[in-house]
Formats: sequence, structure tokens, C-alpha cells
Amino acid sequence: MVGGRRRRLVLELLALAAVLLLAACTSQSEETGVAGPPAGETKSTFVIGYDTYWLGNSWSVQLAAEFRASVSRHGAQIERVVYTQSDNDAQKQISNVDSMISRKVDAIIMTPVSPQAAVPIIKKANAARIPVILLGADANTDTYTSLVTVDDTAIGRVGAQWLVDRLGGKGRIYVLDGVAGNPVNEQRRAGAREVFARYPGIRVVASAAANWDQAEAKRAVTSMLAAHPQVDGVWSQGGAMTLGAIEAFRADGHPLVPMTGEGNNGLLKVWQQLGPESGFDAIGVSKPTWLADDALKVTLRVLTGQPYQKNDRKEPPAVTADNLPSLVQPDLPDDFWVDTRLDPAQIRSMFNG
Amino acid sequence: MIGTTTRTALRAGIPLWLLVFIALIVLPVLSEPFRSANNANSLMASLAPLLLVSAGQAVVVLLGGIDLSVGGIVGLGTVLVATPAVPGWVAAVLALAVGVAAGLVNGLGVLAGVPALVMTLGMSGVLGGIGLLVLAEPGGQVSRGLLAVLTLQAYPVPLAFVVAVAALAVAWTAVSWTRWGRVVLATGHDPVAARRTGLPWRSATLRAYALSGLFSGMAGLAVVARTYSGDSLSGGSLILDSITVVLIAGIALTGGQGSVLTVLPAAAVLGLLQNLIVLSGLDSYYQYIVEAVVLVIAVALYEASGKRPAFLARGG
Repeated sequence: MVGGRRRRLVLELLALAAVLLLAACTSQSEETGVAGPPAGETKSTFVIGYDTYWLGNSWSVQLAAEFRASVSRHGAQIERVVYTQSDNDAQKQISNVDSMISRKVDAIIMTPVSPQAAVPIIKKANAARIPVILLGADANTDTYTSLVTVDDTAIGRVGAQWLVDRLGGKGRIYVLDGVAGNPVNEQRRAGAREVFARYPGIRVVASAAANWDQAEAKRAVTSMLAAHPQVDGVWSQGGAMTLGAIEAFRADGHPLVPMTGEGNNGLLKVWQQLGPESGFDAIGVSKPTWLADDALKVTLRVLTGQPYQKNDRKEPPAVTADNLPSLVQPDLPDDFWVDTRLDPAQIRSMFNG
Repeated sequence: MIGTTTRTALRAGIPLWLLVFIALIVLPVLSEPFRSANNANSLMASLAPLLLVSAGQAVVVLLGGIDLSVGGIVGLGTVLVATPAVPGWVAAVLALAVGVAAGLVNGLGVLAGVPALVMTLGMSGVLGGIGLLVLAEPGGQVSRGLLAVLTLQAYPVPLAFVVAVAALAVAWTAVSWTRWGRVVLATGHDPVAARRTGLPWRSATLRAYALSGLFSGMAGLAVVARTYSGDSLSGGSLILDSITVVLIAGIALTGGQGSVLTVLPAAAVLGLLQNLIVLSGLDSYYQYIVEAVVLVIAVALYEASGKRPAFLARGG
């Protein structure tokens, strides 16, 4: 009886040990040739740590695809990329970046999930003399090496300025916000407010937080149209919400008005179909996914000792009626972001998995 | 008789202990990044919250209950500490007090006849909601003085990890050698008999949930030591992770069987696996699969070893 139990225990031990060893062996095979050269020696190829902050929406998926495409273009300078994935979880991101420090990568590229929670790990990388390049999101510290982004405040501002100009500085507008309290939402909103405040002729007659959702925006705009049928423009901080607004206007039989949106293919397709005679006009202002390409370029400049900009806050690129025909992709899915450096084959592989 | 139970429960943990020791000898040899001081530091810092929450969870499960409010307590704890309106020390004490209070309310609810699953799930929602009302988005500001203490370390060993292991040891000692512990085990083993024989099962229940709440509050501080910020949703993954650890530790979900001490190697196995998957560059989604497989294998082996969990021994 006792012997039987002991045998079971050994069995259990062996099974669990096998699982751990399996993982360890994978780790071993991945590690071949990792040990970095002694400090001070100049290198021509580098090990880069890239943390994918999330893969939960079309933008984050395309950002990651854009980075991998950039890696293939810069293959000559890159020995290897250490990839981790953080599931939009700040603690997981800390562990992931910490593992890159343990693996002594030459540089770390990350998109902070939380600007505050990223501070300690950026400082830790700093102490280990590993450059940290922030991609598309800020952190509450200045100890990072470089920041490559488009400010959401600027996205809000550019859209609002276009709308004001389009209306000749005078008109009644609806405002569609995303998720209240979300930092992106607050920044875009602040950028727009700043513009509207300068034009006394602009009146915000109705606003709603439609959570960046098409159906919610449609519901919100439907009731806005009932309460305030006189409207000259819509400032929406998300492309899907703009689509919802268009649907609401058409269902109501209300003539379309100029609206702001993002550079998502779904909006652009509808915009193209409507044509200029519909009275609809728009601007698509986005944080471009090719920021990932620029982040890798900056990283390589840092590693090869070339000059680089510490805070590279770019002006947001915009889709307008002028460049719409060249950017819209009628054959690609709605959640494709048109302003890209991916080639057609890379785009296909992104949508086919 | 209870002494025998404790010894049996301890013996069940031997394979886990051996596994962890072997891993800690083999892995540093195999993997260079694993043996770095930085990795040891990272591993211990990330294990601290899991150890604390799992130790509390283990006590509640031994009692025959379950605590789903641990995540809410951790989250609200981080939020309180990151609220600039409250001085750092007061906030830290408040986080622990909220944990104890939430645990006591859980215990009262369970004594009033609300199933533990429902009571603690409700508590989790209430606390999470309050946390979001105080701090809608992750961030806030933790006072410098408090942060300096929370992040103390004898590099590479973080203070939070030492405290977590000490707390676990205290919980294990209390369950194994105090009258309260014997009542917890007896109530978990057979609640009806415990009531009939006039054991003080009511106060034992209150104390078990309060202990879990206190440990979750401490886990909130351990999370802050890592993130320097508050986030009402930051404890979410700890709910299922703590239950996974308790199961890997061989503690029966129906109560009365198992040892709190075994939570230490069980959590270490989980932490080592996560660490290895990240270090090996495997897609992090494998983590879910590997953890699930380890859980099922562990429970199946407990079954096979004849140490049948109570729910099967008694079932039907």
C-alpha cells in the first residue's frame, strides 16, 4: 500500500518535471548564441526586445504587423527580435520587459499600457543601460530614450480645426466621444475643445460618449436629430462612430453634413460611395500604424550612435477628399487602417492570419 | 486524528517541493537569462501578490468556502494607496482595513446563508465599482515615502516577497496548530458535524474570510510595489490564479483537506512556468494552455495517488 503510493508520487514528480524540462529546453534552444558580446565592443547587428502591448483590436494588430514588416526590411542590422505580448495588462507588461532586461537585449521597444505603471520598469532598463523606445504612447517619466508618437490631443485638434474651417467658423455641431475616462478619449476631447473655444460662432448643441461603437453612435445621433434637428457638422473622435452617425442621418432622411473620423477603411469606403454630391465631407485623422516602423528606425539610430530626436511627436496624417481615392481600399476589410507601409502581400497575410 | 490529517496533507506536498528544488537547480544551468539576479528579482516580485492571495484563498477553501472578492480587494487597495488625497501611511493602513472589513462582511453573509460564491462575487463587484469611482483610469500618485518602504529590497530579494512568505508561514502555523485552525478544518471536512458538536464555527468562519481579506489587502500593496500606481482592475487575474494555485497544492475545493504550506511550491511552479514561457520567447498564449494542463495533471495525480479529494470520497 505504502509502496503503491510512493510509486504514484514518483510518477507525479516525473510528469511535472517533464513539463518544466520541456519548457526549459525550448528556452535553451531559443537562447543559442544569445549571450551578448562584452560591453564596449561595437556591434553591427542587434538583439531588439519588442513588447506587443495588445492584439485586441484591428489597430493594435496592424501596429504589430507593421513592426514585423519593418524588421524584415532592416534584417541586415538585426540579429534577432525578442517578442513578448502583454494582453493590455500593465503587470504582464512589467514582467515581459523585465524578462528582456534579464536577456540583456540591446534595446527595448514598448507601448506603455499604463503611463504610470510603466515608470519603474523604464527606470530599471535605464539602470541596466538598455535604451527604451516608447511607441505610440507616453509614460510619466523622462528617463526613456525616445518617444515616437502622434499625440491624441493633436488628432482632436486637427479634426476640429478642419470642421470649423469647413463651416466657415460658424455652425451647430454634435460631439461624439469614445469611452469617458479613457486617456485617449480625454486627450482627443481636450484638443477639440481647445479649437472650439476659439470660435464663438461654433455651438456644440449635443454630445454623447458612444464608446467608439458604431451602433451606440447611431442610437445617440438618432436622438440628437430628434432633439436638435438643426445641425451643420459632427465632430466624432472615432471612425466607427462616424459610420453610425451617417447611418442615423440617412435613416432620418436628414441631409448629410461634414463629419470628422479616422483613417479606417470602413469609413473611407462609405465616404467614397457617397460621393461629393451627397453633401457629405470628412477628414480621417489617425495615429498611423507605421509609427512602429519609425520606432525601429529610431532604435537602430540609437544603437549605431547616430543623432535622434528624444520626443518625436508627429503631426497626425489626414485623409481628405483630395487623397481619398488613392487611399481607399475597396477590396480590403473595413477594419484595415489605410495609412500603412505594409506591402500588399503583408496586408493579405495580416487578414488571413 | 487531525494531526494525522495534517501529516497526510503535508506529505502530499513533497512532490511539489521536490519539483521546485529540481527546477531551481536545473533551470539556472540550462538558461543564462534565468540565472541572472534581475530574473530572480522579477520572479519574486511577481510571485508576492500571488502568494498572499493564494494563502488567504487556501484558508477559505479549507473551511469549505471560496473567495472571489480577492481581486476586488487587491484593486481597491492599489487605488486607495494611489489617491493623493490620503497620506501614504493612512492609505496603506486603510487598504489593509478595507480588506479585513470586506472579509468580515463576506463571512457575515456566508453565516447568514448566502452561498460563498455569490457573496464574494457580489463583494468583488462592489469593491471594483468603488475603485473605479475613486480612480476611473489606471494611474494616480503613490507617496514617495510609502513607495520607498514598499519597494525595499535586499537585491535581488524584494521585501514584498519576504513578507508574503512570512504571511503564508503564519497562516500555515495558525491552521495547523491553533484551535481556530482545527475548527476551520473540521468545519470544512463536515460542516454539519461541526455545528452539532458545538464547535465555534461561526467565529472561525469570520476569521477565515477576514484573513483572506487582509492578505488580499497586503497583495494590493505588493502590486503597488511593482506598478507604482493604482488600478481598480489590477487584481482580476489573481482570482482564478489563486484558485489554480490552491488546486495544484492539492487542497480539496470542498474543504477540510490540504495544507496551506503547499501553496508555496504550488505558486512557485506557476510562477516558474510563466517566467520560463516569457524567457523562452514562446507566444504568451501558451501560458494559458500550459497552466491548464499542469492543473489537470496535478489534480489527476492527486486522484491517482489515492488521496481522494473529499468531493469524490463523499460524493452522492
